[in-house]
Amino acid sequence: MTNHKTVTVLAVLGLLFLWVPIVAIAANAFNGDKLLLEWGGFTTRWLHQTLRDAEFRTDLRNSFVCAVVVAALSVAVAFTAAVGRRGLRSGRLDRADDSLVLLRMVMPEVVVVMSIFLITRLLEIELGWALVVASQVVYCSAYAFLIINARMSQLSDVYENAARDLGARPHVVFARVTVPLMVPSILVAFLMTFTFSMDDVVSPTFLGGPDVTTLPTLIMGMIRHGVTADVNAVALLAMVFSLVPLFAALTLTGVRNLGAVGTDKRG
Amino acid sequence: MTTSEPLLTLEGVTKQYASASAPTLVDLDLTLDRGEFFSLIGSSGCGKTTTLKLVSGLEQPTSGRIVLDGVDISRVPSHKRPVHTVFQNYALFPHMSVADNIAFGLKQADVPRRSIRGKVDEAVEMVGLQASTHAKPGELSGGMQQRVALARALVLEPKILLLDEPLGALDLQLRHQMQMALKEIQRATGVTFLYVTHDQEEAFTMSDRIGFMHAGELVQVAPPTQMYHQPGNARVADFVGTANTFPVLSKDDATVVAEHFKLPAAEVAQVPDAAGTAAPDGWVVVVRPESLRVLGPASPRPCVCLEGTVADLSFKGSYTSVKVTLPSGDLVANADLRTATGLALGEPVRLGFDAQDAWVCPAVPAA
Repeated sequence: MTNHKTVTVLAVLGLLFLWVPIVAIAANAFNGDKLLLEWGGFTTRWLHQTLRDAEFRTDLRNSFVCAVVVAALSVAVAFTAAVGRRGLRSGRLDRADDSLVLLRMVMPEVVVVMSIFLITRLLEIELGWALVVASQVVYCSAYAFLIINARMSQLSDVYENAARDLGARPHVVFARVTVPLMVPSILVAFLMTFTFSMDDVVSPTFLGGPDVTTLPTLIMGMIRHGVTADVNAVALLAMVFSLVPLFAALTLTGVRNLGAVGTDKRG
Repeated sequence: MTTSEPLLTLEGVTKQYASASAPTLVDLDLTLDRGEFFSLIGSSGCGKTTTLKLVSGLEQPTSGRIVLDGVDISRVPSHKRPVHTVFQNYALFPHMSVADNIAFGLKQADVPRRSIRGKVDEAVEMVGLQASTHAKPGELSGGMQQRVALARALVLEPKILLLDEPLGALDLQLRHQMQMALKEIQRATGVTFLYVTHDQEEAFTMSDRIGFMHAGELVQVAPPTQMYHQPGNARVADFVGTANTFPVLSKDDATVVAEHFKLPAAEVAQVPDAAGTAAPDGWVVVVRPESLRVLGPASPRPCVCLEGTVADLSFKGSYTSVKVTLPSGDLVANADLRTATGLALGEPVRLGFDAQDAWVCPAVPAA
């Protein structure tokens, strides 16, 4: 029984740690007292102000477009790699590929980004969006590969064999059977890499140069001048704008159970 | 029924998988007649599914020829063969409705859109699934999925329909229903069926002819009754039903001698051309349980009489299976219910059979 209690207490503490700050941000975004010293009454002033703010709107759009591009590229790279891996007999080559994928995930982002930064200085490559996107794709595609390859390796060839047997040419088998069966995992990989890119601070800071600003860099910059109610409003909006597409995508595609990704959902 | 016009011929087909040490199929010769229901049976790993894959084109033979309707299709890719398959676990596309699954092959064949509708409707009606055309496979029961798989392949009017253990996942009652349904559909459509199963009863129920495979070789091809009563060797005898086997000690033109009895060679049925048949492991006498009678005191004395003790009685409904222990081993006899009531465990019992109910065929090395 005591065990039970300890687990419950720990669980509650854990949930509090996760949710209290988020609730606090949401609450303070509506706080009338700008310096957040006390509850200054309910107001939507900060939200209105933020939504009208040109810098916020530009940075939000920048982050969103960048995240979509990164997610699309990562998924494309990962899907192509998974298709290629499927044709590979297990051996030294695919073990080497596994290590490379793992390396891209465990290597601290700061190290990867720093090394790219140093190379650009050496070769006098101009900093900017292209480098930000490229560096994010480097590690995002590794996560995407992990998700997509997990599904791909479980994908039994019976459906593809059935399609061939029914007279489908190889490219039709791929387009009408292989890809549709992979859609749930592709979607999850897309959403995950989208989120990774959306809240990345390191790449834009090092590789973006003076012209690149994103939502995370905006928030970082604001915090430097002190935490005020309008920072909370920006954070709340950032949260809303990254969660809405996620739930929209899940609802529209009918993928309700992320746990089912990678498994064969046949009855 | 069959018109014994050859439709499919496998000539000396050998299949060696890169990963396997021994070939899966060895020099296989097989001919299927147009319109027949042919079953391949054998235990798992005997090569029956590989044979099916070679015919469908999902695998290529290492050597040998596959001729369909006069055309060598050995090197024709799967999607260009007029042969379609009902797979073991149905392999219905989970992301398409029943109607789309059935239409899939028609679209590949560039059938005009208007006639696709009609053909799909016809196929759905044939398998009785009018109510479920818009359902996804995951929403259907196993039996219904099986019907969709059947419709999806038959709608393409294949020259041969291949069926790979299609009823394996269904429960017994449904399996019996589907056996009848398959037989009817086969007769109605006249399509040649090549059916693979490890269930000999299933093969007996539906087939015109059966091929028994073992270790990549075709051991015997025969109609069901012949395979049951005149098995090609002891392994076939054992696979297609319960078999009491007695090793033959010696055999000449006059008598067949086993440990406990002698049979007049003229009365015993034997593998035709017995003299020319190789039997490196010797010969056995095969007697089916239904030919082995439990003898009462007043019973007429049959050709062969054996004495043992009752080791087990199992009630099977219309008869009782009696296991009898002899000094040389156990036998199984089917006793009618009245005879069985007179038997008790551990009591002595006399069994008998007639020479014409015995069958002599080559023995096989013990597994």
